Amino acid sequence: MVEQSILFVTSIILFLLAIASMFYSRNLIKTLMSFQILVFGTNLALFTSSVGGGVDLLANTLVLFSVFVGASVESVGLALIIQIYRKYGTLDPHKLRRLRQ
Amino acid sequence: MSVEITLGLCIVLIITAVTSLLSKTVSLSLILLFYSSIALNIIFIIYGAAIIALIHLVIFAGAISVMLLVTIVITGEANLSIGNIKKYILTIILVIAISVFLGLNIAKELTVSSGMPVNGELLEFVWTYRPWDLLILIIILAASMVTALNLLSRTREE
Repeated sequence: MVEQSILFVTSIILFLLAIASMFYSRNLIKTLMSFQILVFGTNLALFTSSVGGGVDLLANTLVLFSVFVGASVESVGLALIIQIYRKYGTLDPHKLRRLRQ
Repeated sequence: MSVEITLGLCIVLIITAVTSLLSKTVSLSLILLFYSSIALNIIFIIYGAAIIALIHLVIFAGAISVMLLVTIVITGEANLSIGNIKKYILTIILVIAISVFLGLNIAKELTVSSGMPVNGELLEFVWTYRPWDLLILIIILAASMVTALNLLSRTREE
């Protein structure tokens, strides 16, 4: 039970830190790195529900699917970042907003 | 598994993740992200989810790290601006305080798993009981692959 609490607290810390970093970061690559940490937090939270007497296969399956979906989102995000850089020449969201107007 | 090992790994995971977010150098940020991924994988392994750890390692510490590196090389962003550092540190302290308070309260409500047998049965379980989810996952992966290829291919106007 203590281990479950530690893992759960860690997952919440990772999740909230990643969200805060996504709000503050001024670079799209950094935002994507924050998203990766957010996925780590989510995976750990899902996995925590299976820790205890043994390992729950359903929770493991959800973690597996979460990993693949996170990887898909991140690959599309990286492709988008490259396209944005080609078009606008910057990765700063504030500058991008000004350039668009 | 002893509590000390779990606590140590969780501290390593949080420190590497925070330092990765705070670092202004790309290479350091990437390396720390890689280490945080490794710490998470060790947590998975010590709790008996070896397949998850393997897939997580291959995807996040392998493929995604390489893709991030390629993006950084293409865009030539050597320094990552993180904005106001004081705001960041205040947020980190606040987040850790809230998480410890909330997490410890919510963790009391968590139920302990029934203790089903583990090793080598995950893929069999997915194949037997979750085939539709697997199909949707394959569609998502294929769609993301097509989208990324479409985005990266140059248009005629360029």
